[in-house]
Amino acid sequence: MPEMEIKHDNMNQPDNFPGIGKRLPYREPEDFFDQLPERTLEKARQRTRSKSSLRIVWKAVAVAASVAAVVFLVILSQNEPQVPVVAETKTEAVEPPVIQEEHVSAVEKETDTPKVTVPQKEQTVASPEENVGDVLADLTDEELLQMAAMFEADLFTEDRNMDN
Amino acid sequence: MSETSDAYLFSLIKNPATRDKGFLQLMNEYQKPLYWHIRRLVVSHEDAEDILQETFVNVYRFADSFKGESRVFTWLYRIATNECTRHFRKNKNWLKNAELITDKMMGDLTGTDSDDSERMLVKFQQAILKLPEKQRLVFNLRYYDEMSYEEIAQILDSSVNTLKTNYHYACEKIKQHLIEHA
Repeated sequence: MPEMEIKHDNMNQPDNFPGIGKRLPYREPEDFFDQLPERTLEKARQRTRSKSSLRIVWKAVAVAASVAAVVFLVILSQNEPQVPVVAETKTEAVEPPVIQEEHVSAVEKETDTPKVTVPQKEQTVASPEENVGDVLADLTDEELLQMAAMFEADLFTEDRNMDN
Repeated sequence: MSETSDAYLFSLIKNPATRDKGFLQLMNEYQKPLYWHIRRLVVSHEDAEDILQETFVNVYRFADSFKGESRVFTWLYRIATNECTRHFRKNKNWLKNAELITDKMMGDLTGTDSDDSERMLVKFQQAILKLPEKQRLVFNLRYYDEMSYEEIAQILDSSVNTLKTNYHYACEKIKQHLIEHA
């Protein structure tokens, strides 16, 4: 029977079962309690070690993920300024500037109203240090085709053209 | 064990330099009562050993979380009881195994020249094993460990009145079982 000092405050003796008492029909193996503390301590140490090494791995993974995210954001932010300029100018990108002027003059002839909004918009949208013509000249045929496809898929541009 | 020496043990365990020494002292102090508490609940020695080790491994790892608001033995019993409850949930057939063990014990006793009181002990354990989980826990803590209802309430997170009712019903059921299987 286990030996332990327990204080019993305001406690009545539990119901007795005559002839039974507190004895148990179970037995523990010999020397069980002598060896158990050392074995348990070893187990506890191993568990602590494995947990801490697992924690280190997780920290390393978290740091690597953070670095990757930062690098990705930096790359994204470097590409970002080009994207809006190209996107805004892509409305006219399908047609070379010369054709645009012809188109504008043709529209002017048809409506007899001075519609010079297209070139004005191009001037306001494009940043001062970048010329749209230069940008377009730098683009490959493939990129131009991609921009044309984007332009066709751009509903907002269509609405604006329809308004015009 | 006095509260002062408990506090001393935990001061040893919380200090990395003396952690192992304090842990071994704590185990030597409490391993027996905790083992028997667990063994009475799970019956099998192997299961009891595993659960006891798991209890102390948790103590080793989470000793810092012990704030001294309750007594150490209450805290240890709480961890051990939770581990037992987890064992019951994980091994749904544990009761069947426990009954088989007690049946085997009965068979062993019948085969030897053991007296009637030994057979009665096994029948008593069988009656306890047939109790619902909560009643079994309350009965064991009250009857064998002689804890007050207030202490049991801390371990099981239950009200004193509920525990008294549980204990009363447990006693009645055990008496009934002993009469039926006399």
